[in-house]
Amino acid sequence: MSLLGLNQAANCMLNSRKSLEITGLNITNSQVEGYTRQEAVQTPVITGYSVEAPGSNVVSVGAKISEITRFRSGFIDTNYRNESINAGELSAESTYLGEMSQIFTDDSELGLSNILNEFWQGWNDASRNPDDTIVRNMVIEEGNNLARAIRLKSQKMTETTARLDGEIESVVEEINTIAEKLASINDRIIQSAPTTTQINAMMDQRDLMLDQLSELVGVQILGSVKESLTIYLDGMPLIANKKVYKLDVQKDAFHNFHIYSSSGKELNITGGKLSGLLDIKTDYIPEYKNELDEMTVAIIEQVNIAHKFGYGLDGSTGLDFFNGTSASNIGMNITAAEQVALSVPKLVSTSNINVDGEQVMSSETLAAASAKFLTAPEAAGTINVNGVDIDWLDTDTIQDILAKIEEDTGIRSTFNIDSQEFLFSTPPDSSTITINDTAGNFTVFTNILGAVTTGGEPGDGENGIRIFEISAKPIFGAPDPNQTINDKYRNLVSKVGFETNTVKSKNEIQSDHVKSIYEMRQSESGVSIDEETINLMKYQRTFQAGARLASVIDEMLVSLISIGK
Amino acid sequence: MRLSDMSRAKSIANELTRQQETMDTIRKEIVSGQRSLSVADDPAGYTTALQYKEIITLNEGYERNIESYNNELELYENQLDHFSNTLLKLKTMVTEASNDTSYRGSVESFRTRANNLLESLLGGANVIVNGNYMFSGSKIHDKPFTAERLNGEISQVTYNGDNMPKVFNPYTSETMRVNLSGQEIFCGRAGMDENVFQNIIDFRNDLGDSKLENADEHLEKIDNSLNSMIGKRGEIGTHIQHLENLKNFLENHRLTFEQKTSDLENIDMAEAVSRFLAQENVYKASLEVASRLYSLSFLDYIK
Repeated sequence: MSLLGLNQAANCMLNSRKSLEITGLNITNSQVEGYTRQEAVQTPVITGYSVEAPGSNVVSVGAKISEITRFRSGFIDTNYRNESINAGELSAESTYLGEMSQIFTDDSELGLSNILNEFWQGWNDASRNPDDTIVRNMVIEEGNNLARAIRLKSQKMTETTARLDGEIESVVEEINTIAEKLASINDRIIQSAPTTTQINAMMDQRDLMLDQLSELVGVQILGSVKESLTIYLDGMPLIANKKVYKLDVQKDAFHNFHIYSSSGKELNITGGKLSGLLDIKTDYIPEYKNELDEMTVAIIEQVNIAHKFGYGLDGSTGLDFFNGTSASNIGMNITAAEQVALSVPKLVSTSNINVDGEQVMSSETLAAASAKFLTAPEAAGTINVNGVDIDWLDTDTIQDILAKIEEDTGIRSTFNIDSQEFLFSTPPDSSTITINDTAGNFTVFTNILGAVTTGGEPGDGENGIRIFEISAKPIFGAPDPNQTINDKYRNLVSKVGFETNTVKSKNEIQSDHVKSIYEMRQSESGVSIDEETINLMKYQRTFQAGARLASVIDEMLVSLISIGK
Repeated sequence: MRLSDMSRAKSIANELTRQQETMDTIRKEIVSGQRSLSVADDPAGYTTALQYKEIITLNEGYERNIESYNNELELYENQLDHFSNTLLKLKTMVTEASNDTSYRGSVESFRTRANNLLESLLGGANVIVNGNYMFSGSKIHDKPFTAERLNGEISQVTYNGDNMPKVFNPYTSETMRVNLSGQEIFCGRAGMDENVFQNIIDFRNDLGDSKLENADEHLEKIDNSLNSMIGKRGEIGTHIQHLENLKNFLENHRLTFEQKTSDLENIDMAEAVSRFLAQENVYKASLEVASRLYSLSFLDYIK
């Protein structure tokens, strides 16, 4: 018997106390984000010669704490951060697209879609009572409402863009701040002893910051868990050991952001919140703005062309209805009710086409009415209206030919059976109509040209109908041909909705995926109070057993010493 | 798999939050009565509803047009009835004037009656509806007919309006004319002696000491005018009937789309309340489970 037993008991008690300390640390930090559970690893202590076992030269004198280990998986960490990069990007996109969809969600009757419908109907209503000042004022008010609603959408997008700009700059600043902290902690990890609880705490902090950095930007992290790390962004270093290479953000003349490395190379940012914000800033919002602008320009141009051609009650003509050039500055040019151009000038035939008293009906064929014409039509021929050739046969009726003229040239006309007169409404893009009987064989139409009446008659609301009919006119070409202005707006709303919905769904899936990886990591690194309670009991009992061992050995030694007395 | 306390806490919190969000979504649906809360929730449904609303507004516009123009056409119809009746009275008078027995000794009476009919027609032709002249074409603020008088009697009537048609598009079909100018009704076809006013003036001027010799000639002219008016009245009647049919069609069309929009946008309240109650039960159960999980700890069993 030697004093070796007392040493063993002492080691046992010391190790138990240390393990209890670590258990305490785990319990204390069980709800601290980023904390990794630790354990004091005990290994046997081997020493030399033993009196009791002369044949052996190796004996264990107990155990010692060889390492305070962290339960951390590098594989799960890498996985978590890679998925966080995607999640950060989708989350940022989802947030801002959510705002966009709110802008384009038309609540109740104040929505742009409804205001647009009311605007067109305003012209329709005004065409019925063209001399009524109240309906004329309503047309102006509805034009104002439309311009205001469009400007509001544009302004909301501009405000969102301004907020986005601020956030992009602050994210770059946050990346630089985290990079600085990471470099500093990196340096301290390199300098510290490898097995202390302090280094574990620093590595926890570093891991937490790496998680935060991954959410912000798609970085590439090189180096194992316990070593110093190097972090790259688009192939350029952001951190190398304790050195930080700060990012620089600059705005160009078109208000687009460019991110540069400290060496001046422009970086292609992929992944993370920063990438999501840049995508919204450079792709989504400009596209939506552009589509809204295209629709607005079409409204301004189409309504103005028709309005300029018409006449107001006060005889004014050639006036634009709207002013402005885009969604941000569309406004009203017309402010006085009498200037709303609801009537159009018309061309009236000056002489009849028939033999006196012989009525040509618009529904009978030219052949059938042949005898009633001053000049009998040929079997077939061509007339040229404003440069467009229109073929006719004597099996056509006058109504058929007028319909062909309208279809091919846009010139609308009527034939008054009683007066046997043609009445042509001159087209919006031209103040004259030229009709030639090119073949010289159809004089029916050659005598219809007459004086242009001045518009502005109080009972004429035809221009109101023309402007109302713009609502059904296919205006836009590729990629979606035959779109009306209303279609264009509806497609824009649909586009915003579908893109938001898609990104939102992706974000939810990605977020769930990141959560499941987080749970896997927690399964490895998280603290379970129940488990720690068992450890608490375990180390307490070990301590008690060590103490008991020391007590027993002490009693034995006392007995041994007392033999000689 | 080990379960850490933090992971368990976060998982429970996330789950409870998600359930609260679901309940809140149903609550918003119930409060607003609307299914789709934003274009992002149901883009296809939302934009389809926009399209339906556009159709509804368009239909309402067409219905307003029809309502308004039908009223105008009915006014024209009434006025044409009045004019036709006046011409019928005139015909009777011409017949009476050709009869020597009834005519003799009452020239002045005939002249007075003829002048009265003339004034009545002129008054009808210059009628004002809603502050506008009905029969002056597009010059609705200009009096359509002005009369020159000789010794208090109308000697000539001049038309001051124009012949501009007022057309509208009832509903994606060919345009329909909804006005009649004074020229068409009273002036007739060129060279056809169909000027109603002139014919009455001529008749009045032909009245002399003896019976009217050229009564047939006058009757023929009046008949021409009358036939023309009856023709126009029939045309207007057809238009009114057509517009009535169209109005019914548009009303049904609009109601169909209103129903479709309602199906897309509005919630079934009973179904939404049931969903809310079901979700409430799930939430209560989750709270119960969470509370029991938290009350279980090994710490409670050691001394």
